[in-house]
Amino acid sequence: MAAVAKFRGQLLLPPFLFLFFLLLQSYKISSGDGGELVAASFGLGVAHPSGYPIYLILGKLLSFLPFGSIPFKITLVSSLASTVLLSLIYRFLIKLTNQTTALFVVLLLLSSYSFVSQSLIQKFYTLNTLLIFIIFYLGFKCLEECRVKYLLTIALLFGLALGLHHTTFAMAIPVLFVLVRNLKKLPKHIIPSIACFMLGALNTIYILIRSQKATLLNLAFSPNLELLLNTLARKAYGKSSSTELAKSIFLFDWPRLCYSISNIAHITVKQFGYLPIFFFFLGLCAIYKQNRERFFYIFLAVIAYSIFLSYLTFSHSKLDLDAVYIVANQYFVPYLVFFSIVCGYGFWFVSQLMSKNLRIVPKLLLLFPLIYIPEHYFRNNYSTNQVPHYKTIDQLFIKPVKSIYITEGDNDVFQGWYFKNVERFRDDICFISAPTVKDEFWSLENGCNKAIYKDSYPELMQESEPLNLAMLTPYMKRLRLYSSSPLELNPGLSPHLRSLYSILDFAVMPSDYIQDEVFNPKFKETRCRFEGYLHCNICLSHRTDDVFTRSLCSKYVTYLVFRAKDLSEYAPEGVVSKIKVFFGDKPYELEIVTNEKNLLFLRYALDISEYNKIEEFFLYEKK
Amino acid sequence: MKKSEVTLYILFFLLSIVALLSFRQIKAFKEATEALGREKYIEAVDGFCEVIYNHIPFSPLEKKAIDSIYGVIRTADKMGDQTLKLYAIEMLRRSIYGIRHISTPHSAVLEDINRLTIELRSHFLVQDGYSKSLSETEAEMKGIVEKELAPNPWISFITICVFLGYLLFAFWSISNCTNHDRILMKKFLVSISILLILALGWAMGFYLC
Repeated sequence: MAAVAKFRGQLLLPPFLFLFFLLLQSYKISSGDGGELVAASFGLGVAHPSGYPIYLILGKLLSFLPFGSIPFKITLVSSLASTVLLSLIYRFLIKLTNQTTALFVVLLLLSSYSFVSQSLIQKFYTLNTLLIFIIFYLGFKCLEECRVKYLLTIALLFGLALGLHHTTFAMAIPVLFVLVRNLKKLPKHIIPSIACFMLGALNTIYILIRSQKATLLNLAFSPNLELLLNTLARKAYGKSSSTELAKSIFLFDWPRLCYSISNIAHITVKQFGYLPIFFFFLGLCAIYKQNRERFFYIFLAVIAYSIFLSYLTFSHSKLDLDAVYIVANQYFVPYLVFFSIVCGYGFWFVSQLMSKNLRIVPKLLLLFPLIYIPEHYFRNNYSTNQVPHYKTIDQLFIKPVKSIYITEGDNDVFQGWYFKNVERFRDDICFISAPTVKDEFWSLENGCNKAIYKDSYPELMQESEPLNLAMLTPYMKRLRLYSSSPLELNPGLSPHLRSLYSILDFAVMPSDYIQDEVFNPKFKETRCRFEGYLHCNICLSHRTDDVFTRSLCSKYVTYLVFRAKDLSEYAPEGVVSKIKVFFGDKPYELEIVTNEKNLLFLRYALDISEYNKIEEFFLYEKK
Repeated sequence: MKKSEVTLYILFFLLSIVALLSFRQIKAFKEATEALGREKYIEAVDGFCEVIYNHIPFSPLEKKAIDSIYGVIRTADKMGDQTLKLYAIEMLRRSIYGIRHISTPHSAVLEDINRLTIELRSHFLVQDGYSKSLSETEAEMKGIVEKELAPNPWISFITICVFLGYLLFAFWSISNCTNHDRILMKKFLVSISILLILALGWAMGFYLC
């Protein structure tokens, strides 16, 4: 009977998991890197450093499925990777412990906020975790019996990891333990292992090859070996590059270590609550009691993906929203897996203790993670998140034909690139992108590819001269230059240019040309004309607490406040209110005379603003 | 894992995806038809595009959704609402581009819609006092609309298959060229040679597509 139940569990779990992820996963582009990764996958381009060829190739493979939209199919990379990963963990634990324990670990992971959210969007972290777990599993097998095929496969997988996120290399720490244990066998296998590593690493030449061609998207242009190495080392990120992070290991700093431990504790409690911590310590004792080698191996894996990784990337003394959203929410998915596995051993220990008299207790304990799973319907329901999709459509549609659009930051431009390059929505618009408008380096490559636009935008394509906004004065005068942030924020541009809020974005004009009394009524008319085309309601219907999604909604808030201001004039005797809106990070105060007509817009703006408070992000604790 | 188990899983995965997409198509079509009845044209276009976006081969709803969007285009023409017309055209166009796979579904519609896009964009530009004539503007817009940087689907499909073959062969070689604690050097070297040939194959494919 037990064997039948075990078989049934193994057989039924993957479909159940897949359905769980499928129902919640995003079927349109997600915020942040989503647009970039989908466009790069579909167009066989290159994503941001380190390029992520493995993710892009798998994404492209799934994009050949003859149904659904391109973003839906590429999200399947994450959801399928999570399905396979959880099924493998289940099978792994069922052999070592029992079925209830394996189920407990799977449910515990399903209750984790970050694990589930990363499984539902276009990101590579769950695929990366799957690779890490396979390496972990092979290392684990090596502890029992060190076969050469395991060593060579590990080497091959490490090579492949160069085409994914570099956090995989933290797995080298527990693997090193295995190698030390089998030191005698090693010398004769070193050369074949290096060969296997190289065969795996060969996937990175994809970046080199695709950089030779005009592709839909290339964020890490690497047409030669030197640039390829820079891309792989993520040199573009300066202090956060892989090489700099590796160097920082040797600069030991006690306070930094203390912060990293405290930050890991913060992540653990936020993801799982307090009870699993008890199971975790119990689990460590249980593994130690069972097998010391296993204990050291698993313990090293936990340390590598918790304290060690936190020391490198998450040792902030103060946890700001960026650190929590970008680092804590993404990099530590492998830690969540290892933590859950150890908790599973703790659970197993408890269930063994109670196997004689209190058999019901372990089954009741299974309810603990089950309670948290339904919460994903309200926090991680990416199938309801249409904000990045419609916000981009709105932003592009309202621009006049053949406009130039300057975007600031990744969150704005990545979705724009996707829509323009893959779905060809308003592909007459040319994008100029800047990391921030204060930055000196603005780029045209992915938003206004020379291969397509050289005849339409000759002013921008002059190879002899760098990009100079003065050349775009005719566009400015015809109200065809827009920016997602006020360009005055750039000190070099502020004496020459002025931005006026138009609709969702800013129209940019020469300072000496701008006349408020001429342009303001014009923009007011535009705001009214396009009112029906804007999808403000999507900011109240998404059930995700994604920070980037929420920040996108601020665009609609600003628009609605401006609409309210436009309607002020209809009843000038009303109450005067001062309302603060944000243009990027810059606050701006609008004086609005409230009346019956505009109160509705203000209410709407307030509702959106309240619903999309970014500080309420699950992992963030506002102090 | 047995082969039959894997086949069963793949079948289940595919069926559940198709079921979910069908459900979304039916729901979106119903909502869009209702919106059209209420003369909420933008909402209707969004809904019909949603039907196309949740693409299922041979779905009758997609054909109906495309016809309905053409209906909105005609209505916009009658009302003289060029903005609505542009919205309907651009949205239909992006929905079809957004469901491309190895082939492009509704490619005949796409051809027609590209023509309308060129016409309408040019009309807007000239109306705004663009320096070129209508025919020159149309030629310029044609250059943008018809140029394609997406990789050739068939070459990229074959290339990715070769790449996957390369990976699978690498794993297979490792388990077959080793015998417990020993590497069968001759077999291993032959495998590496085959792998390098395969690597050359996918590298060339990635260059060509």
